[in-house]
Amino acid sequence: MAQLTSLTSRAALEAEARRRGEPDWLREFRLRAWDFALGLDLPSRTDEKWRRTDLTGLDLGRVNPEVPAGAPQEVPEAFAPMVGEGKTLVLRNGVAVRAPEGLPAGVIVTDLETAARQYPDLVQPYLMTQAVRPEESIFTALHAAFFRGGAFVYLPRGAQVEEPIQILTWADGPGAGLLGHTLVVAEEGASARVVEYWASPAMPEGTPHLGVVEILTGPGARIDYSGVQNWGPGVWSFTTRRTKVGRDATVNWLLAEFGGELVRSEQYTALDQEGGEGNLKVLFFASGNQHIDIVAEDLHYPTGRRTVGDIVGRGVLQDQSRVVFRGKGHIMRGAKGSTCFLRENALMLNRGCRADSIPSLFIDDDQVERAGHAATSGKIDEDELFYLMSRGLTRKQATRLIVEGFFKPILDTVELPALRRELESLVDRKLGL
Amino acid sequence: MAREALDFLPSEYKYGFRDPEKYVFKARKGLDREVVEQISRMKGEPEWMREFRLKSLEIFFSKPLPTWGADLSQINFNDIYYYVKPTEKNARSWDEVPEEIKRTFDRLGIPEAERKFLAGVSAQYESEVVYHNIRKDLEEKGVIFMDMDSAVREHPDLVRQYFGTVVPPTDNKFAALNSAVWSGGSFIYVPPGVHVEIPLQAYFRINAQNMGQFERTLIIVDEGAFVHYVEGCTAPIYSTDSLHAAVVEIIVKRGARCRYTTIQNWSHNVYNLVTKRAVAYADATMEWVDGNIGSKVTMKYPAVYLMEPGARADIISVAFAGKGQHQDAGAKVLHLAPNTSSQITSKSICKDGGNTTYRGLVQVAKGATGCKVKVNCDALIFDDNSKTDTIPYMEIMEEDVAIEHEATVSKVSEEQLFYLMSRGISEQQATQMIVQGFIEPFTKELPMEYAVELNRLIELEMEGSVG
Repeated sequence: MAQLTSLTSRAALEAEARRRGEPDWLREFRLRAWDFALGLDLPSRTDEKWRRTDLTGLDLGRVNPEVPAGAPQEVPEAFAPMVGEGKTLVLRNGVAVRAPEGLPAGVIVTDLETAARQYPDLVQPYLMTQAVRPEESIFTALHAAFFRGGAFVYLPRGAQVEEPIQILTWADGPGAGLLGHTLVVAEEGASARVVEYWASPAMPEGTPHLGVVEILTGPGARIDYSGVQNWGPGVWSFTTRRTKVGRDATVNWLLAEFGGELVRSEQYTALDQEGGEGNLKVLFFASGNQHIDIVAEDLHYPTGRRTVGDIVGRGVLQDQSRVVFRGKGHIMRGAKGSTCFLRENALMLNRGCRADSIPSLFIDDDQVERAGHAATSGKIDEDELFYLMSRGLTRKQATRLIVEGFFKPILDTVELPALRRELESLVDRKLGL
Repeated sequence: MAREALDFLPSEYKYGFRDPEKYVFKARKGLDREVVEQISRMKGEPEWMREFRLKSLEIFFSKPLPTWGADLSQINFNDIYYYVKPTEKNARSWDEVPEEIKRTFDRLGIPEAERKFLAGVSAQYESEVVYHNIRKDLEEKGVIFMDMDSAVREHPDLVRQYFGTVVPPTDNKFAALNSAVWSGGSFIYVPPGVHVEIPLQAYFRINAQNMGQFERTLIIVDEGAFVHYVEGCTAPIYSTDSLHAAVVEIIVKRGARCRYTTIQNWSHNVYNLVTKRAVAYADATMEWVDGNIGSKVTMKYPAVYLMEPGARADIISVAFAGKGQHQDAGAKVLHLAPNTSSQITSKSICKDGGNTTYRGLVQVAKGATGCKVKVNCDALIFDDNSKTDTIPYMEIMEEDVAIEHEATVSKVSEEQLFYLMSRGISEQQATQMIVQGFIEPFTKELPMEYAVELNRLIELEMEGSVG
């Protein structure tokens, strides 16, 4: 694509990887991804999957893998309340500024660049090979070529991590902090809870963020994952997340999209092993002129007998914002005895916003255990507001209570108190409180 | 349920007989300006209609085939007869209908149905309406029910005012095609306050091979009036495919109500690509009752544009796809005014490798406050060669609304079957009872005779499905 030639050259990309001392396989991987990206164009609105998001003005030539000059290498102030809890990894502009201690034997929580050098046998087989692939889109291809920092969580067979693993990512400005990659690998029977938070101050309009999250689970493993996106205004965020659920394994994952200016957020639960279960919750709060385009899919592959997939989308819109929620449950031929359910609720706080939802079901096998979807959209119930106001609350306070109640089932899954307080205050800030 | 219980025999299509072709005129195959001008000349049309056709033809050529929905790549537009005239004139008495055509409609039970429970009948054979009748009392009240070609001649002002306003030729490729080569179809006008208590009916029959039928229907229900229009359709089975691309336009004025019932039972070699749309004004109600049993491929999404406060849309549909069939059907409702409401109920059944798709759109425009929307889509799947997709689009641009959407997909439950069989009912009967129960919300909206007929059709389609 033409824009990319302003970004770098193959030779420069190769030289940069060598300068950073990256292993050969990773350098080759980046170069393959770069070659692939050059042959791609930006998605067009004639493509049904991109029809509702206008990418005019997106300049991928602005992708920047550098660490901003003179950026401090310490925990950012915004994260100060949170670092005392859980097993915490903090990344600032793609550089690990704090690493967790006291992890059980064999468990690894570190930044991905370091992991690729130190544990190549554990990283190479999983990095963008099984869940998200570089060839999926121009965004994943460029991500593969340029990712920086990132987080690697590895749980060996049978490992149990009691305390939640917390990954906090901060970007001071355009640069390496907006190119993080999260790779979680849980071997057979392992289990952990992982929470992730991405945040930044306001950035120049149209600053691209290219993210990928991969969660891979072996037989009987269990991962509970929550990720909260709170990039500053101006960021155009493109993230692809996929979990590949092992035999009889469970992945409960939750994504919350709060920040950014234009957000394209794709998540896929891939169920290709018997008895796998994936429960996905997606939360959003769109305000101002935000445009949030969410894709959430459950894919029951032919080998995924007796798999369970569930998608809940829940969110609030206010001001002039627009949200697109494209949910999909696909039970392919052969995935017998599977269950697939989609639910979506949108709450609209004022006139002027727009919510599009497309909760599709594709069923190619007759032995479905259960498949369905339900969606509602509407405004805050005036009766509920009236009741609360008759108890002496202002309209704003009453609205806040109702919105918090709307989000509560999801906020309840965030068990670290400081992060939870941060999320609650995020909701309040959005409401102008 | 036992596997063998689902081995379907090829279902029998009882309307698959054909008559020898004896036409007074048959245009050559293929489509160009000359064919369109010939159709217009044969019909002795006014200049504006000829120009409308030619402009539409250009639009048809300029539009690509839809890239979504069913597979249309096998349609060969050059291998179709666009106009076939079976008789010299259309008859008002059954005796005047040419013998062979009369026999066809006799076999389909049309004259019998007319005597029993219809206020008027129109029968279209190939491109032209061959028989047409309406009860005297309705005619005296000013109700107009005639074929579209006659209406262009006899009611030019009324036709010109509304024709092509609800579905313009630019709407989609097949609406453009219809606008260029349309022939036949019904024209109905119901004057203010008149209630047509018993249904008006049209019956469409394709007989010739490689035939394209392009009827055009325009219904105007004036203030406070009511009409129920019923259409049925069949065709013989040929080895090559036929094309049916109709356009239906309906205007439901203030306080009026229109119900439009379709039992689509084309043979399994017909591409059925139909644009049906109604506009409903203040406190008016539009009801589409749409049954899709036949055809090879159907793409049809009956639409209602709710233009003024209090307007209401009710769309209820059932789709049945067997071997080699794709029913891509659904509904579209646009809420363009405050306090409008809509309800969409869709039931689909697939078996024996059939493919059903529900594709729907609900849009609430900015300013359309206080709207209520309820969508329910249920699908029943019989075997794992079959496929059922549900793709509802919801575009909500107003906060003061109540939108609900629900969908389920299920197989025929073994528990239900077991229960029924433990009561001494055979597996075949039990399966049929479950299917009939599943589509009951649809059949109960049909005139009784049609409900019986539909159940019989489904029984026929299900026959041999259980060992």
